Amino acid sequence: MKTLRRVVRRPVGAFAIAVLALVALVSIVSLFWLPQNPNYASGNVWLPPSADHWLGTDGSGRDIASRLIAGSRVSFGVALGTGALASVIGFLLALLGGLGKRPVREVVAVGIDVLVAFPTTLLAIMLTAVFGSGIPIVIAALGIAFGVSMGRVMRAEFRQVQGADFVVAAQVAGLSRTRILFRHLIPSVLPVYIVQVTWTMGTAVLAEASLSYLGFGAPKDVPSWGGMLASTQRFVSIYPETVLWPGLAITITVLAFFLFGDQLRDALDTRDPVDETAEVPR
Amino acid sequence: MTRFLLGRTGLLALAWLLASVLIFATLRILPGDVAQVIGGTQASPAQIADLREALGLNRPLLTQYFEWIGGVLRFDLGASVVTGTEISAELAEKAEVTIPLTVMSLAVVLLVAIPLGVFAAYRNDSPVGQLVAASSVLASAIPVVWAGLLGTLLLSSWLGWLPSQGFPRDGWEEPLQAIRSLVLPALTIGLIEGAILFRLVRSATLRALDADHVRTAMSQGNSRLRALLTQGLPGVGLSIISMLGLQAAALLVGAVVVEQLFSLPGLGTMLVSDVGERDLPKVQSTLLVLTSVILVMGALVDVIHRIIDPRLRAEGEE
Repeated sequence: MKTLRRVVRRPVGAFAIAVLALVALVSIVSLFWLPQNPNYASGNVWLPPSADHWLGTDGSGRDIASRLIAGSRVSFGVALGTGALASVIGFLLALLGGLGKRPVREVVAVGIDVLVAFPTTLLAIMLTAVFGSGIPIVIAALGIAFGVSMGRVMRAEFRQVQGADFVVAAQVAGLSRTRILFRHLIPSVLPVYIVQVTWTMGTAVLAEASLSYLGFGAPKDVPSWGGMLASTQRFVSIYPETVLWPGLAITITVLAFFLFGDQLRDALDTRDPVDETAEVPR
Repeated sequence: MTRFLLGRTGLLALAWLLASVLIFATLRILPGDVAQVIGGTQASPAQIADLREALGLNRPLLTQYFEWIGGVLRFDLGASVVTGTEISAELAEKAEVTIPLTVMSLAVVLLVAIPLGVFAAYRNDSPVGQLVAASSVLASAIPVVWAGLLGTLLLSSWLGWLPSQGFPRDGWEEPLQAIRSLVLPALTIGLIEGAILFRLVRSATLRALDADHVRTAMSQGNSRLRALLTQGLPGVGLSIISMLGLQAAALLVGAVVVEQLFSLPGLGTMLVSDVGERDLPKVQSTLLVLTSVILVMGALVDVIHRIIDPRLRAEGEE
């Protein structure tokens, strides 16, 4: 809480939290109420903004504002789901690879190196080829891929903290392994961990938009920001403003996640991860 | 050095085998019936049975795996189930678009990220340096698709400098036309991916400016710029090289999205349509080829890094 207050007090942090809170609120509201049915093709195509259609209609006569509002829950849901799944996978990998017995550690290390080389987008495409497109598939693919990147960063953190004087002192003092883990190791890597999760969530929004654009993310009848880019793409030179909204929504949301992560890092006063090449998951 | 090369090659082989098992297992074991997936819901049970026979799905999984991998090692990637064409021939044809696109984007990444990264670090205390750093955060938050659409709008629709879509039908018969049609896609990937490399270059340069040997050079009467250029930048260059493997992989994957956006007939567009047509054998081989390229590039970068970084060399000779 003290950390959050420190983040809010700075303008950039306040901006980031405000944007994220707004997106969260909009996506919750969208579950219960939308200005129009986002999938209803009225036949009135490319209407300019009006009281009925706040941002006008798209090439199929669907209300752009409603689609934009409904799209927020896909982006936010994927961010939350991926963040949660990646945290669990990353934490388990880091625990095994950083603190396990020597053979286990080395197997996990090689495994992480191989999996990190396997690009997120390809993993998502592979899973889609097998299971068909859908939001759970996106979350699974992104959660696994980003979880591995997080595992790589956190493994290095665990290894470093483990050699620190206060941990060695605790071992000498005869504290049990579990006690050292929960009282010393986890609390010291937690700040880096939280910042990693925030960045991962931002990157997940970006990745989901690309996948939905390719048709490998949200199904056709689920409005999503990436899908909106795909459906308005052909008309970009005639109706540029319709392409503007979904792109702007993605950029601002992702930016808010990134800035929130940066501000958290400063407020928690952690350094950058030990392994800087793994700073940005993809 | 020999020991290092042997070890790295071993790791590469291990990684490649693991990747091939991973791809094979995901596409075969998880879904249940591959023939059903390929045939789709309209296929009759008899058609599915024929398909199973034709694809050799009735044989043990291990046999199937070794047949596939044995073929791949002899550069025989099998044939597409949809069109029946040789996969390797088609990959080679599509690579004529994807490889130049990746190389051009890499050029954009390096040209943008290195000068700006060094500049932003050198001028870290001035508003300009801070502004450049802040805009890199903004750039890394922009979705590639949107950047491409905005680029099309600006450079193609409004200014009319570049073609907005497609690739010349004759391919590289007219090299100038072909290159022109790759400029906008390369700029799109390059600027977005460049933002990530920029952050690395900037932080490496900031560390170099603070490093003992650079400060020593300054205390000997060299200007800050001269000390950075002669003493600091070689180290920054090594950090960049160590990142290039990951960077090139990201560019190759970025090409998948961008090719679709600009209707370029490359590997990405092919992969997307193969997934749509459920051509699983082709998807399987294409994924393995792309992963192999990425793994080999990673290994090459490690070897080059090892050869030119005196610190690593000394470590190995102990």
